[in-house]
Amino acid sequence: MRAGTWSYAALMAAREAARQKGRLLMVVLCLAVGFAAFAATYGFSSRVLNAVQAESRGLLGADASVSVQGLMPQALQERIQSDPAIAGLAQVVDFPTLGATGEGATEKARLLEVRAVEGAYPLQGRVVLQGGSTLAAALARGVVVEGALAQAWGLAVAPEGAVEAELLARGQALRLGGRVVPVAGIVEQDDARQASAFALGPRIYLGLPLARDLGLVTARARLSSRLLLNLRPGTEGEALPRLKALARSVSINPEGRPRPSGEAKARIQSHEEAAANPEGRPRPSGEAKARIQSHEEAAAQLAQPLRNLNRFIRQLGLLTLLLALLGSWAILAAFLDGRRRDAAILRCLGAPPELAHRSFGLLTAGLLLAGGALGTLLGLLAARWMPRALAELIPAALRGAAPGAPPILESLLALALLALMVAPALARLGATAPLALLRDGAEPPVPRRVALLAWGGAAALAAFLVLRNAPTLGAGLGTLIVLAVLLGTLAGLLRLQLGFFRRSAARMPLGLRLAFGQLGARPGVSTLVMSVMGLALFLLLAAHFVKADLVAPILQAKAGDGRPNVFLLDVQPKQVAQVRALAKRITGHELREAPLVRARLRAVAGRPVEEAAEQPKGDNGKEPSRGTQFRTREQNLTWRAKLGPAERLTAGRYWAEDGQPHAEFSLEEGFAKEIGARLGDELRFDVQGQEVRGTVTSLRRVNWQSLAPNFFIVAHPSLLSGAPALTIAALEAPDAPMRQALQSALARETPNVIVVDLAEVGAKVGRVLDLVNLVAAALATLMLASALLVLSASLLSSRLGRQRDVALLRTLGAGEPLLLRSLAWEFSLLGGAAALTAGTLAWIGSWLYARKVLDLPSEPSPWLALQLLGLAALLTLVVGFLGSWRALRAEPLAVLRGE
Amino acid sequence: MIQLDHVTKVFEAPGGERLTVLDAVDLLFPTGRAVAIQGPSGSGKSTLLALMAGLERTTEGRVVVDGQDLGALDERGRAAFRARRLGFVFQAFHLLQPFSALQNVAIAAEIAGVDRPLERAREVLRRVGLEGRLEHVPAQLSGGECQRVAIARAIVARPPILLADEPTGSLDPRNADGVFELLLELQRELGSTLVLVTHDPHLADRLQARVVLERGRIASTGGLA
Repeated sequence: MRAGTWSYAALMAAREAARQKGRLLMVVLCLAVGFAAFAATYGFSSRVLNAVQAESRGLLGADASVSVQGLMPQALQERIQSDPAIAGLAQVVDFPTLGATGEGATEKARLLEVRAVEGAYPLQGRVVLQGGSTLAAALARGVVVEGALAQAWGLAVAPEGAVEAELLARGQALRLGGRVVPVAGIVEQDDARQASAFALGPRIYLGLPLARDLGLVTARARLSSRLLLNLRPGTEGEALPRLKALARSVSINPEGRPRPSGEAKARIQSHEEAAANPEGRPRPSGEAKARIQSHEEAAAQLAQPLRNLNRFIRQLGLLTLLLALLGSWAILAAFLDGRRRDAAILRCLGAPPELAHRSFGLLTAGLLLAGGALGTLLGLLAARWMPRALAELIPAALRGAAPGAPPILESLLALALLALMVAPALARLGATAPLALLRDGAEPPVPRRVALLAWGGAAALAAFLVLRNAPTLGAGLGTLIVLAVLLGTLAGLLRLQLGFFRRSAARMPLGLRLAFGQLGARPGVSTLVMSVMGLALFLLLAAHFVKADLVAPILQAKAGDGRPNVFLLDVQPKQVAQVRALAKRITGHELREAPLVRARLRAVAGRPVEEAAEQPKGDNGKEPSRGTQFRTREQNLTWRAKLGPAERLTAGRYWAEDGQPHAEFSLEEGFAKEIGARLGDELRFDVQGQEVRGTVTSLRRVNWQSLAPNFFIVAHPSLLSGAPALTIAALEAPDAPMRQALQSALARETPNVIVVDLAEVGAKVGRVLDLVNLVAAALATLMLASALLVLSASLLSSRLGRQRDVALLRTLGAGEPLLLRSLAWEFSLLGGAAALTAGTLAWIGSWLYARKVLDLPSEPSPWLALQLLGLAALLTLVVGFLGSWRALRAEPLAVLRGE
Repeated sequence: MIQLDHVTKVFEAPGGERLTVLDAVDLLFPTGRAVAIQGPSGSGKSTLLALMAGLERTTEGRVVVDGQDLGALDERGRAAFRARRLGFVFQAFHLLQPFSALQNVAIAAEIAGVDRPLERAREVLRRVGLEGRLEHVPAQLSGGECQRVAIARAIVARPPILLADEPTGSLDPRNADGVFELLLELQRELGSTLVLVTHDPHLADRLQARVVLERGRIASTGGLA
């Protein structure tokens, strides 16, 4: 085998690998950590998103759906049904309602998501019941409940022919709409069920006729109706545009009657008329349009929360990979620089100049591939586990989905990135005259062109990777800037700390001085270890702080601090007095009420608001801007004679209480900014078909933490007080039994009233954030592992130098305690400084985020930061001592003699 | 035969200052002769060796080894020359740290294209008295043993030329003597030309010829004719 051949270079690489197992294993592990994090998050992300597409029919329960707010107009249903492409049809009505079970002391009540169905639901996908019964058969007997609810409430299926009166006490029935309905089935699997974290409450199924019979399906505000459609094979392409055109041509008036577009607007119900209507409830505001969605479009919409979660997780995974690449580069570059002497010896022995490049190039390539492959494999295995760990965030139908394709392109690009970063070190291997190196000559610089090409290319690849995995170009650029600023700040601050400490070293004890000497001897590696570790700790702390800021205000509301913790929605005018008395009797507190009128914003300062109904978020993969979403959604308006206790005027003037009519609006300042409204602008609303105009005369800042009924839009009483309104109310119910009693009473007496228990909301938000934190913590732990691997590798590669230093100190008379003290200082400073800097940045960052973005008064607790500071110092101390043990134990004279 | 014709070597310092290390040196080293190079530090001894090994290029003049002008060879050609025709022993041993004694020698044999390099490496290590230390890495060997490995590495391809730069400079007198004797024995066995840089006049006395350098010029020669 000739020395100049590739095969000989491969042999040399294999020998080197066999001899340097420990050091090279660090590179492989460091890389594996990064690739595992990326592959896991990427695999999870693509698995879920692919599954959304693959299971889109099951998730929607049909090929396509027609949806309207309120009741499905019979005429529209008939027109759609008569379309030749329709092969099957089922009607679904979704709404929340209070449900209860048990009696007396065992009574339980809560908000439920009801799905009332008619026809062969589901047309696609499966709803599997325990015991093998079919949904249709069960619905013919009673209600079908979700497994989680059955478990929580101890519900069981009622036997055939049971006496209805006894069922409730035995947990075999629910009280709905004031009546008792037997439990006829318990759901085992429901393909169309969204993730529980995003649900209002447990789902129950009812037959649509029974729901009507119970008085639950009426022309009320919070109904949404859908016609699920199965299309004849091959007709989807031409049928969907036709059905969409049909939906666009039909406007739904408040009573749910379709009428051709362009016809005169539906009359607005007067207050008296509304009062006269049998349900006493206001209609959905203004005109809405029926909306037709294919299963793909519906899947895109369903995937939206998942997509947001995926974006977050994937960006974190990529960040972990980039940091691991940085760590691997540090280890590899130090390793390759350490091999320059050997390369020079080989040159002196007559090895051809390319041997070193080839053998170390092959070795590097092998390490990269091994680390990448191992990490990807581990990551893909982890991706199989993630859907189970994050089950609450993922629809049931997707949890068993087939794994997505591995991120081959991204992985190859990441490997290429690292290869480019390592290229200068490889170039240096051959850049020195062998004899000059052996005589300990000066370090030759890396050829400028090589360095420029390598680092420029690496930076471009890193940017490309971030941009490719970002949801939008802007978000990608933002991530890049934030990452660069964060790393740069961390690195800069840590170097400043090092510099400061070194300058002040003269006044420090000897152990500390020696520690700074060691840290300063390898400033690059020290800063890198600190930065990677700091970023990991930053991530952990920031996630924790933000969670604390988001959830704490909600949870604090339980503590009986005078703020409401229960909201009552959809209280009808005739129910207000009854609910008021009931709340007072059970809780001893007064209701804080506000009227609520639904409306659609039609124009701001004469500029018409874009039609939103046809382009819901998520369609065509594009999400409307926040401003568009704010302008086009259904608005909740109220009226008030004077400012609420949680409000403060920031611009303009609030209307005077002069008994005169004023066409004026007051807007929350953030909302005004989003919809592009300024003081003096005219706003035009459609309130159930009637136009309401007014001028913005004041802007308010709202203390949302007051948890009182607060609104973005407040109208002068003269503008809306004649309009039919619901009442929204808040009250204080400090303990759980009190809240439970309130829910039970409302479920019995006013079942249409929706009760939102903030403790439950807080717990739900907390669970979601816990899961997100779990991912962040897992990735941060991987980053921390990368940092410790870099530290271990740097200790390994600097072992000889450290041995020499220790030997020299011993020769000079330093005792064991001094040496141990200096090492303890060195490593605790390394971890401690990283944690201190990261903790400070995370504290400031989350404080700013909470104050400026969430508009919450933030007081992040420093305890966790202090605990992490201790943990980081301890970890670095342990790794540092283990890595330095051999250096400490070496015989000084032998080391100094070079034996 | 190694012939140096009017060899000048000038190094340029980073500030642009030119330092003439060898100045118009003419020398002829007959084949099979053992020659000592002496001179004070900075006189150009090591540079002379580097030029003869093809590790440096002359600024002026030629280095001709067995009729081959080293200046006419490209990098690859000079590498091949070192691999097959030259053995080099350094003062600081310069062994490949991660590799065992056997691997250090075998790698040199492989680079030189020696048949059955591992067997040959074992054979020469036995010859230098290290049969019991084949699998030891440099860190586990004493200085004298390291230098024996380095000598074994230098002779593994039976080169016609052996260059040694202060080969005993890092060793205690007993080890230095042993290593020196070994080097001479092997030179005689192989019939190689040995050019050895040393500060030790006693060692120089035991060689067949001597060249003394001073400030890059030849101060005296003896025994070369």
